Amino acid sequence: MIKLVSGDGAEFEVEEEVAFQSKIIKDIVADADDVIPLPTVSSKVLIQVIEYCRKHAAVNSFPLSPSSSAAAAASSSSSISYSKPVSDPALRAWDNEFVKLNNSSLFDIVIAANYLDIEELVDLVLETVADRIKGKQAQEIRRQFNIENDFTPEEEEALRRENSWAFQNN
Amino acid sequence: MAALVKRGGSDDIYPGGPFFSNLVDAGLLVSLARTVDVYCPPSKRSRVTAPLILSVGEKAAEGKQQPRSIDTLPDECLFEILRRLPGDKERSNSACVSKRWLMLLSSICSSQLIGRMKPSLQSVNKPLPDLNEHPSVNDQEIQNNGFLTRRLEAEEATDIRLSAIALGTCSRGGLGKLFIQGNDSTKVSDVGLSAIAHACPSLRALSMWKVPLVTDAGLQEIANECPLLEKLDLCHCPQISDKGLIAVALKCPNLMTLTIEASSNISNKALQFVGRCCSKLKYVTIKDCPEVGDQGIASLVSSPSPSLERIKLQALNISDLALAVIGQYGKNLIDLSLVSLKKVGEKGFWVMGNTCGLQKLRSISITCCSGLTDIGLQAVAKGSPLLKQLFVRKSCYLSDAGLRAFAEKARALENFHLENCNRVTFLGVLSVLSNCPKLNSLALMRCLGIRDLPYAPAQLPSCMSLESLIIQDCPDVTSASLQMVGKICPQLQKIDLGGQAGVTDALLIPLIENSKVGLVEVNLRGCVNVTDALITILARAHGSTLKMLNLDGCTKITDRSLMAIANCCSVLDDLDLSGCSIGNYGVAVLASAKQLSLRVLSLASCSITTKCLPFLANMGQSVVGLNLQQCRLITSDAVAVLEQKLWWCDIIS
Repeated sequence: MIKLVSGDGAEFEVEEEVAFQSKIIKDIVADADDVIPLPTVSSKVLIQVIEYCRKHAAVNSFPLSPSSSAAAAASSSSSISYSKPVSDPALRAWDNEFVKLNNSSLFDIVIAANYLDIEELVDLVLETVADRIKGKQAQEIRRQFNIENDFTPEEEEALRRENSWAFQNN
Repeated sequence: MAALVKRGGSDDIYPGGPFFSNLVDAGLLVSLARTVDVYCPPSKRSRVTAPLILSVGEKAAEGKQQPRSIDTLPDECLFEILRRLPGDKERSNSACVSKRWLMLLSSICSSQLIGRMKPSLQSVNKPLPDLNEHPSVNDQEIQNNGFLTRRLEAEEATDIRLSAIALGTCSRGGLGKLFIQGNDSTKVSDVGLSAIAHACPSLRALSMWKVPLVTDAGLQEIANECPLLEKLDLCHCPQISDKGLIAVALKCPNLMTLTIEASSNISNKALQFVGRCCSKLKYVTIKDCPEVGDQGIASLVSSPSPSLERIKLQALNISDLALAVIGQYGKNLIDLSLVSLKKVGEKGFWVMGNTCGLQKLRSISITCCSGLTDIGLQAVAKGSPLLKQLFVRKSCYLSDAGLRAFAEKARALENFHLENCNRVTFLGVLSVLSNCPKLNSLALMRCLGIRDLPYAPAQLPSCMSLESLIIQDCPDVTSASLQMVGKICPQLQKIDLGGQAGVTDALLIPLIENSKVGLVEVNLRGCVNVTDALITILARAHGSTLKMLNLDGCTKITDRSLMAIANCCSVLDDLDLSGCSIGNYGVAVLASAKQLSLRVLSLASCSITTKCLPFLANMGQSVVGLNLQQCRLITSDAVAVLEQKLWWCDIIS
């Protein structure tokens, strides 16, 4: 068992194969002891991340049944694209539920997953954020994600002129 | 990617409370750690213990409840998100969100786009093309042909703008040409140039003029990503050195045109690479580069496949050796221009000509080279029998003897231009006129040695081929010379006597009457002694051929001339009456002349009034340019009315 300590001091005991979803933890454990402080990750986020790792560790440790891999191949043209596709449809459905979070929580997980270097989770959350950007105008994106417009009016005008084709038919 | 920060300092400074619930600062930490690259290999205990982090922790406690914004994500995460946006349209939209988004989006190489990696999927989802749409839009998304051109001047030239161009053009045929005309405070840097490099693999021409912040790194990006580059101008880019140019030489085999100006960091070494690697190089201009010497020029010219057609060398520390190599290896050279080469002596020109390598040379221009002497010019003619154009400017040694010797060899000469060569006299000019059977154009400018001969030569040559005669600002050329030229050259069509204040009616009349074919262009700018009588004769004699007449500053010209022009000229299309003593009446007559269809009319500094404007307004469709500058008696309101009526015409006032 490996003990993870969140930024707010909470301790979590997890199995090796769960914790090793994170490459960085795997590296640390390789030549260090079993208590790993994760000062930048809050306990709330860490709970979510561990939940994800636990689920994926469980699924990945069993080989895929032939039927599910066929189903995965059939559904490979879905709109979500992973750089390394999660092939099990059940796991995929679980993932889709997992990311039903508000933006702020999602970004927490982006940061944590990126920090812990959990490749599949990073892919999943980044893809989810990208999906939330898709099909929106700049103004909507700014509002939704709380981004300040730091262009001067002239810069924005030049930008729009250069990209005017993209605003047609909208 | 992820970084564990470990600092050696004091033991276990480890805040117990909620350490990073403020996510902004956590993001800051990760970002910071990444950028400064503090990655320590995991050791027994890894923890964050640094004063910086403590202060961040304190801050975190204050603003705990703030929701995390997408802006707190580190660049690499946001980059990954933006990389996943499908289609160029999505990316262009998102680029307008903020500067950071724009910069990140424009730093994505087209090969890194996830959308691009799955073309089949995209095409399935794509609706059928709307045939009413602009036909090229869809094709261009696939093909990057580089049809677009962008020019940025001074304030416009920023990294933001370049990034916008990079994003905006990549999906519409791609950027083909980029011109940046900066100034000393131009902020364009490698960031913007990299964005262009990444998004515009179709770039063929890059011109950077006064772009002080761009370095070799930016140019290397261009070299790496834009292999189709054909034209590169680097003028006043002080931070670009051999390194950048060598990258271009190695990566851009199509390079055809290279201009380097005022670059103190570019030396022979880079030119050696260019000479060796760019086998398609045709046009080279090198100016004001103190580190470029004979060796650099030699390796450019003597490359194994000599493709160079045009070379211009200005203000370089090159010597006779460089000219010798050009003479030896410039087999395909058509046009050679040598300016301000202080170290090149007579020997250089002599060797260049006598090696007889410049067999294809058609045009040579030599300016401000003290090494050009009579012997040198003679050798040039000997080495390049097909020479058609000779331009000599500011040569203090060239004399009549050299011109005669040159003219005897240069039988193909068509265009002869002499400027600021004070030792040359009218006899030298005559020898060119009599020896070059194809001479078409003769220009003499500011040559103080050319003056009327005290005697008329017994036998005058005749030059049937000369059509254009330009004598400008040669104060001593007056009566006899011009009469003589008129006799020698009966085929004159174009006469330009700009600035010849000494020219009078009496001198010009024989010239006008001698012309057998009809004058087409007459420029008498600044010939203050010319009067209406001459213009009347000119209009009567040549009205059917005269297309251009410039009387700028001829203060004795009045309405009488305009009446003659209105009556006799039928094909005139460009008339300059700036500063003439004409009035409303003359302008009205001119504007009302039925057979005239002037395209360009200049009435600058004339004392005409608003009254003549209605007549100008009736001039019809032909007029495209009207100059009313310095016409003080014409109100701007009246001009506005005229502009409305002649909306197709470019009116300056």
